[in-house]
Amino acid sequence: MTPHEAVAHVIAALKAAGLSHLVTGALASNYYGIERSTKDADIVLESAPGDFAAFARTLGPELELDAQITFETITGSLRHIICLRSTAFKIELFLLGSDPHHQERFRRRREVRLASIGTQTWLPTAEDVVVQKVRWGRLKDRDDAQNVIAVQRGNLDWPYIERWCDTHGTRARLEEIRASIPPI
Amino acid sequence: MNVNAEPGSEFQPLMDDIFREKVLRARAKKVEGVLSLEGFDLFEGALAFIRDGVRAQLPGATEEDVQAEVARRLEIGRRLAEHGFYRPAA
Repeated sequence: MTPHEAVAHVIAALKAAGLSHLVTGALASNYYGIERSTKDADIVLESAPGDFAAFARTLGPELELDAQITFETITGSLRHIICLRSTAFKIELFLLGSDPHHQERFRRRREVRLASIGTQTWLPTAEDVVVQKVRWGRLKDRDDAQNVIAVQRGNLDWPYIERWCDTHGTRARLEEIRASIPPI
Repeated sequence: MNVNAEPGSEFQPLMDDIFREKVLRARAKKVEGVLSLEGFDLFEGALAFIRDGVRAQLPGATEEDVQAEVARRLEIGRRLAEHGFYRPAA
């Protein structure tokens, strides 16, 4: 199973289990920004207690669910990791929590087609990718935010982005990233 | 990093030019409504370079040794990237 097939398989399994999802992380910033290398796919899913365990049982032998559950320290999102056996590739599944921005990002998601596989999936809006990347603020996140802002040019809803960055206390970081972009 | 030269650095104009070119290329190849998974292929390409580097550093290593060393290096990278960012759930 290739990483492409693994993502398609997991998305199909989520759909079969009736779980709504959202592809985030590098795949989402690659869609709106500049393509970069990534060894994992991040997927947010909306699930009630008990749904996840049923879904995990449908993964099949090539995909292994890591027993260790972690949480992301900024938003508290719970993370499960699925490893594609004998490769470095991982799929990280985040359970949609109560974080207000994550809730709104999920509500605003848009449907797209997964290249080469043809299945439908969901992405956050470009604005929500920028808000999340600025919020995380690691070097790679800043680069991703800068790339999305530069590539999307005049297509972004700035009042929306600024409102969330003000809420998260990350407005100064956003302005620093915006100021670093040369005229294009 | 894309644009991280010190303000006023002699390299800033060059870095800006490179960044502009990357942005224009990305805009030109966008296909609305289609999510590309090219990032995985780019990673596979990078992985091939890492394997070559390990083979050069460990002459005589078996493919199994090479795989184990690549996995060890990737794990170090993962820990650095995730340090303080993820914690075990209770």
